[in-house]
Amino acid sequence: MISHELQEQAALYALGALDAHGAAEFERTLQANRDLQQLVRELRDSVGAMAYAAAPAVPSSELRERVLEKVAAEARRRQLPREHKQALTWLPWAIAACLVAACCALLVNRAQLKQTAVALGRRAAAASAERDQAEKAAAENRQRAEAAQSQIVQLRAERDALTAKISQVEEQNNSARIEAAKLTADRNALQDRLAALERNASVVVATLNSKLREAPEAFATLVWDGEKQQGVLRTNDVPATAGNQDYQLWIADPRYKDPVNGGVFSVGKNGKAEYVFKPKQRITSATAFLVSLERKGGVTKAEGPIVLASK
Amino acid sequence: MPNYQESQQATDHALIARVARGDETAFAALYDRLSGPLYSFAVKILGNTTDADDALQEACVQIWRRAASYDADKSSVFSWAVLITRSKVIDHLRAKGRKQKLVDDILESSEAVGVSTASATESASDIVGRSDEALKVQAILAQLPAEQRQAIELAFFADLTHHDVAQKLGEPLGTIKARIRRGLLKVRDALHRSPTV
Repeated sequence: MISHELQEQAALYALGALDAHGAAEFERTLQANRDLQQLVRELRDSVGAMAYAAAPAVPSSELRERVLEKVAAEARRRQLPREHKQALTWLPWAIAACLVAACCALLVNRAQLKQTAVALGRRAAAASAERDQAEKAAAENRQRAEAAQSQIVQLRAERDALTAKISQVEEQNNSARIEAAKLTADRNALQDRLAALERNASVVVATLNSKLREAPEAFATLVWDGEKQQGVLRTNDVPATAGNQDYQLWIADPRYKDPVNGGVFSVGKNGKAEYVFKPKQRITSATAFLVSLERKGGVTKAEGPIVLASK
Repeated sequence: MPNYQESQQATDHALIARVARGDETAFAALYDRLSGPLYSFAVKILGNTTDADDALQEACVQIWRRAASYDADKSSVFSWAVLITRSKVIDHLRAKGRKQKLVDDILESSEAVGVSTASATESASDIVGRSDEALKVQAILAQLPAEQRQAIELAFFADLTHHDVAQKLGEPLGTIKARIRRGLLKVRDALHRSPTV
């Protein structure tokens, strides 16, 4: 009974599918097993029969002639040494003597060589086992590499998705920044506009009409800038003041009990005067403007008659 | 073993014994008996007659030189000659760098060797002229499971070791060994049952 393992070795050996080491090892086993030898012969014949599987092809007659000529040439070369051999009849004896000497030397080394061969066989078997193990490890490494590759592909996909998302968020941030800058600019513009409007609102233009019977046509225009706390008064057809008298301007502000002193001015014979004034007290809300006729240099509180007044 | 086969092998043995003694006439007779299937085998693997001519010539010279070392206990004369021819053919394949292509052809082919040689590309005269032995072997190979046939073909026709076969087919080494063993034993059993091979 031949084991499956030996049958496998025999099949591989018959096919020529064993490497040099495997074949040498199997041949040692083969020498001591006649059943195995018979199996190898049968398997070899089976392998040989596989040549019949090829489609028939006929070699040319020229090839036959070439082969036979080549063999004839080989035969002639083989014949020449034979003739020499007949001439030199002593040569075989000399060769035999040499062979005996060589055999003696070989016998001496035989045991040592045998030991070396056994050791080499063991080392070769160990190397074969190591190779199988290395192949297994290589297969595992390949699997691990494939898994790692797959993970790398997945991670790359995730990275690309995150990169795209980051770009999107950055784009949104940029848009938001631009929008915020635009809104800030709008706000500043509106604030400027509001300030301008407020500034304009602090400027008051008033007309002061005559309260004089003898000069009903007299009037004055006044522009008051609340922010700058200063104003300009221009008179028309207002009677000229006497040498001991001055016109005095008063500004009504609810903050104060009495009108605030706006200063004194005089009018020439043509009835015109332009007077720039800047009250000493701060005016919060100018509700009315008045001009009275006072003694020269003015007074702290109106005493004389009102000659001009705003509505 | 059938008598027909025994008588054929006896003739081959007698001839190779005479060749071993330098008998050129016996060699010519042996050439006439073996050259057909050996040449067909070489053409199949090499794919052209020019290289097959060279391989067969080198194989025949080798048979002439090594006839004395032929051992009838190890194989038939025909199987011995096939193995010599295969060795020369593989040398040519390697020299031409075509071994890989042969491996690829075997891997890609879903056909058995026997089936592929019975393709429509053969002429009617080829089929008629084919020997009974060839037809029997083709039938036997065609009946093998594809995976066993493929493993055997890669080892035999493409000269791959069982390690190489396992790597090419991506199968464990033990699986390949088992396939080759089972396949080759089936071929052996079928040949022994066959009356003409």
